[in-house]
Amino acid sequence: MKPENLLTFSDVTFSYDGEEGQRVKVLKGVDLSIAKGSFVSVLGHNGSGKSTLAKLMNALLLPEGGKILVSGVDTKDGEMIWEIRRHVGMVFQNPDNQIVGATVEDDVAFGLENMGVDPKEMRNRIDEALLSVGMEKYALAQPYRLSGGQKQRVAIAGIMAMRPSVIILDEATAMLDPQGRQEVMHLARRLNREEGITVVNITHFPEEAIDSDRVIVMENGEVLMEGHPAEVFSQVDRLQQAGLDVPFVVRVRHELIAKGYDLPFELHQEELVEHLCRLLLTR
Amino acid sequence: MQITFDQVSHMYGKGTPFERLALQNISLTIPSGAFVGIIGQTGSGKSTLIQHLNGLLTPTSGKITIGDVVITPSQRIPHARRKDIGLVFQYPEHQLFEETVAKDVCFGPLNFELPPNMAEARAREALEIVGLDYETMKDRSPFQLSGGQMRRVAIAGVLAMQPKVLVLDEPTAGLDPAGRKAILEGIHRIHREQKLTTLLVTHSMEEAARYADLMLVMAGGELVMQGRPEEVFQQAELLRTLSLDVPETVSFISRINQSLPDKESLPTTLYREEELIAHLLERLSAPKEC
Repeated sequence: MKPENLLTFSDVTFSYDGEEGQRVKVLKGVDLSIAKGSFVSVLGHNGSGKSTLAKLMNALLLPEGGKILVSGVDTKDGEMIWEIRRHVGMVFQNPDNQIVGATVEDDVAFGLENMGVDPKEMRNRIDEALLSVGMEKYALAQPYRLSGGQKQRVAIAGIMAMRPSVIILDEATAMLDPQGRQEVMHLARRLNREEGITVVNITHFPEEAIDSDRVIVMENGEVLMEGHPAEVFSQVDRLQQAGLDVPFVVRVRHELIAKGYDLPFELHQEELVEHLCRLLLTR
Repeated sequence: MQITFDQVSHMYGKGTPFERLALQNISLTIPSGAFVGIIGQTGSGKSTLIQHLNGLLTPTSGKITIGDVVITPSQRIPHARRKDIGLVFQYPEHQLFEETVAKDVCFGPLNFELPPNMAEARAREALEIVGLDYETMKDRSPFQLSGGQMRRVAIAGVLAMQPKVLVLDEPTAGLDPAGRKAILEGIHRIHREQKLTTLLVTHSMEEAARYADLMLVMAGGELVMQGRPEEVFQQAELLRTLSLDVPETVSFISRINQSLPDKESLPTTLYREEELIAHLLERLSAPKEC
């Protein structure tokens, strides 16, 4: 059975007003679809159109040309806008623009209250969301007293607690420390796997894309590449030309095969280490 | 400039119900000319520590010396010496305010009463360090630039002060790999050329491994480790309990060493990626001993 598409972009264009009053094209006819229940990573350098893509997904922006469907609903349908935004939760890079509550748990509760979630269920969801971002000890803390990274974890908890069908992480891990990043990615994966939530992770860290179902690479307002992480990351030269990085393991293998050593393509350290040790021991 | 901290503590909101010890008995020595990587979990005190360097915060107790300047709870850094310490905050682009890029970068030098032609020369040089062309950028509005360009302009504003100590609080957060590299390579170049003392706060173990020759590890307001990167990265378990990690190079080497006989182990000092790859190539091409 063909997987159902949750998000579909057909020939989507978008531009904004440039410095000299001219229109600057940010998206130049993007076609893509994101399957229900999938974990998709979007890579691309600053200015490639990634964030515009994200904002179009929950109708924060509307396409200039073309059409975007969220579960079959056109994002241009003004009457459905709140329904679309409930479906498509978005976590931004800067947490200071997202925090509204007087305490951490109030902040997480904000969206749930708006949705009219039952108080008992609300309590469960808040506790679980805070636990999974490692902020359970701060439930009663005042958000303004938290550091930037902690605030982001609270903001992510707030979105996660809403359990939308799609969660878009728009560089949401950019400011977190290594473990914070891991926790957030782990949480996103778990929600994807166990709750069937579709995840779109827009990121600069190629390592975060390794275990995705699909990787979409944006370049200059167009989809440059898309496919399984192995298909995309095996094209090292093409990615580097686009100013993008590849995961460490891919980089190391690329350097070694360039010198004529025979190593199969791998995305994870374990596998490359195995091949490399065999090569080192049998040379 | 050599920097020393002698038993420095800092308490936020002292004497109020909200008082919180953010730095606890920090003692450290940073030799002049060092490139220091500061790592630690969010909230570990990294930002509090560096804000002591240019007088934004004064210690609650203890003593800081920067070159010949002494900072104590009762003795602030003299205004004229503040320009020696350039502090680049997190998201420095939020502090851009002028009409043009040139005016924004010149603001600091002019504020310290440098003649306009010299301020302009400094702006030109500073923009070029961060990889921006002065002529094409100078008349543009900083608010019409891309995020990465804004970041670079903001950093140039600090470099234009020609500080002797450069302190950067996560200068590459949120940038793409090409932008991160361009900024850090520029900074590393002037660090060497102008013999600066540079402190880089970062969440990226890879950045710390690549540039730092000394590392400070913060946790819960305390300095828990200081040393050369290879010394710090050998404490992988401790780093993980502090919510930190080792660079991928280090975990890669330790995985390899688990699978190789002891006499074939890779040296754990190869935490820089280029050095690791060069070593692997050398090992692969060398005829097998024994």
